[in-house]
Amino acid sequence: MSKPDTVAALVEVLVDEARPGLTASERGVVADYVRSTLAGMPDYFRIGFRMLAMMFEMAALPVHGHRFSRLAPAERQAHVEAWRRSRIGFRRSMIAFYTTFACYGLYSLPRAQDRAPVARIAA
Amino acid sequence: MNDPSEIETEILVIGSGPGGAVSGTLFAEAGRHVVMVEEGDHLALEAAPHFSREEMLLKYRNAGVGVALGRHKLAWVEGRCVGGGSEVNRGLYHRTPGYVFDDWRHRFAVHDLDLAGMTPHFEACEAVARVEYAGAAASDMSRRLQQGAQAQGWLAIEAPRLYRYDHDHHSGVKQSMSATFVQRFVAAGGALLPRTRIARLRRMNGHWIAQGSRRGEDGKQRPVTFRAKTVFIACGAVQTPALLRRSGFSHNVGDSLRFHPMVKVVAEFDRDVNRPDDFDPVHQVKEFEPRFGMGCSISTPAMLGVALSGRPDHWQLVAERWRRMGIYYVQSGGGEASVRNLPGFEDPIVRVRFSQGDLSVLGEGLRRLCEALFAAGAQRIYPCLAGYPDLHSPGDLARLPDVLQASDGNMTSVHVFSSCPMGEDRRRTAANSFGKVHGADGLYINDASLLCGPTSVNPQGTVMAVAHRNATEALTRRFH
Repeated sequence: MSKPDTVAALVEVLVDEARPGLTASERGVVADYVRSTLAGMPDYFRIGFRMLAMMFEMAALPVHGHRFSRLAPAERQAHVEAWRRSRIGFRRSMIAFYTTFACYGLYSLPRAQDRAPVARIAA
Repeated sequence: MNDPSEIETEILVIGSGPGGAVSGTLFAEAGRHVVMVEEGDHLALEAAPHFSREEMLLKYRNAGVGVALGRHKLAWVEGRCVGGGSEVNRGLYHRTPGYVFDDWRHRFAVHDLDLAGMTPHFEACEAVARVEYAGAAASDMSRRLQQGAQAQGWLAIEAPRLYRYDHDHHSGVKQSMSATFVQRFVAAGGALLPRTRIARLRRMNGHWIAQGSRRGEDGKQRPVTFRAKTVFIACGAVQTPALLRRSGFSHNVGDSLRFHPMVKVVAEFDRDVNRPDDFDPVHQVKEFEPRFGMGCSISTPAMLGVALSGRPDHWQLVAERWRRMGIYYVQSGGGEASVRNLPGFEDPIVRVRFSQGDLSVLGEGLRRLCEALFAAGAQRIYPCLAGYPDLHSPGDLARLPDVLQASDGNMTSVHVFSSCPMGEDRRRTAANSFGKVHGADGLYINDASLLCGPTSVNPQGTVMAVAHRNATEALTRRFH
C-alpha cells in the first residue's frame, strides 16, 4: 500500500474551493510551499501535525469507506467541511492552519515567476 | 574564515539582529576581536520579494510559524537570517517615549535610563541606519487611517522608517542591519559566521565555552566550539532565554515574555486606495497609547487573501476588490508569556495568558479602529476574527462584543520582548541595568529580551539604542 499524501490531497481541496481551474503544476507549487512550511515549523508542532494528518486521513474511513487521500473529490470536500465545522477545537485549528498557508501559497503564485535567484553572501 | 571546529575570540556575539549587530559593530570599531554568529543565512535584501512566501521560507524562523499556546493562542513571527527581524519588518521607527523609560526605571530599578540620557544613543544609531519619512509619497491606504482618525479628533501621525526613500524613482533602500551595521562590523574587522547555532554555554577556567553546530554549504551540521572571555547574547526575546535556560540560567529568565498582540480588519473603500507599487504604509493612531495603538498593515493581494481566508468567497472578493481594500490593526501591550525548553526538542515552547482586562482593551480598540475607518470612508469592514460579522455602517459597531473573542490565529504579533528584563531589582530582573547577567562574569544579554515591558511604539529603535547604550557602557567598564 502506497504512503498516503494527505497534505497534497488536503491542499487540492482547499485550492479547489478558491480556484478550481488551477493547473496541476501550480497546485504542486502550493502543495510544496505548504510542505516546506510544515518542515520548517517548530519541532514539537511538526510531530503534532504529523499525528493530526494521520488522524485526519484515517477519520474518513468509518464515514466514507476509504481513507481521505483515496476519496473522490466531493467526499474529500465533505470530510474537510466536517472538520472545519467540528465542535472539536483541534480539528477546526488544523483546517484553519492549512487554509492560511494554502491561501498564502495560492495568492503568491503570480509572483513566483518574478523570483530572483537566491543570493547568499559569502561569510 | 575557514571552518575550524574550535574558535577562540575575545568577544562572542550570538545573534546578528538589531541588538547583536549594534553591539558587535561597536566592539569591532573599538578594536576588539569579535566573532558574531547567526543561526540563519546571510542573504541579500533582494534575495526574495518582501513579504513573499519565498521570504517566509528563507528569512523567517520556523518558516513563519510561531504560536504561543494558551486559551487564547497568539501567532507571531521572527526573522532568522543575518540582520534578524530588521530584514523582514517594515522598519517603522520611533524613539522610545520618555514615559516608558521612566516606568522601567521606577519599577525595575534600572540605573541611568531616561530619554535625555538615551538621546545620544538614538542619534548614533540613526547616523548609521537612516530614518526617513515618506511624506507625500505615502499611499492612499495609509493616509485613509490618518484622515479617519483626524475626523474623530484623534492624534494620528506618519511614522518614519529605517529606509532611504528615492522620491525621484519611487523606490528606496531598506536600512536593515545587513545593509548598515553588519557591513560596518565586517569593515571594522569583525568576523561574521552565518548558519551557526549555539546550543549551550558553560564556564571553564575564566572563559565561556559556547558549543553549537555550523551548517556547511552541503547542508550538513558540524560541531563547533567557541572560547571567549566575554559573550553577548542577542538571539531575540524567545531564543535568548531558551539558550540561557539550556545553559543553567533560569532566574527571571523566560518568565515575562511580552508581545504587542494585534487583531486586524480589512476595510473596503469606495475607490482605489491600494496600488501594486505603493510604499509600505506608515500612518499610526497615537491617541489611545499606551493602552492601544492602531496602524496599517502590508496589504498585498496575498496578505488580503490570508486575512480573508475564513470566508468562502475570498478569492473573488480579493480578485475583484483588492485595490479598494486595506488591512488595518489595533495592538495593545497585554498578555504575558513564558519560554521553556522541552526535553528532546530543539525549539522552545511559549505559553501565553491574557486577562479579561487585556481582551477588553483589544475589544475597545477594535471598535475604535472601525470608527476611524468608517470616518475615513470605508464602505464595508471585514473583521479578521472568526464569528465576527461584516460591518456596513457605524450602526453595526454595536454588534461587536466588548471583550475580544479571539480564536486560533486571530491574534498575531510581530513584536516580542521582555523575556529577561534588566535592572537592579533582582526580584524581577535577569540582568543588571546594562545587561550583565546576574551572577555571571562576562555574560551579557543585549537584545529585545532586556526591555522591561512593552514600548507602545515599534520596538526596533528602542532595541538598537539600548544595545548601543549597554555596549558603550561595557567598553567603558572594560567588561567588568
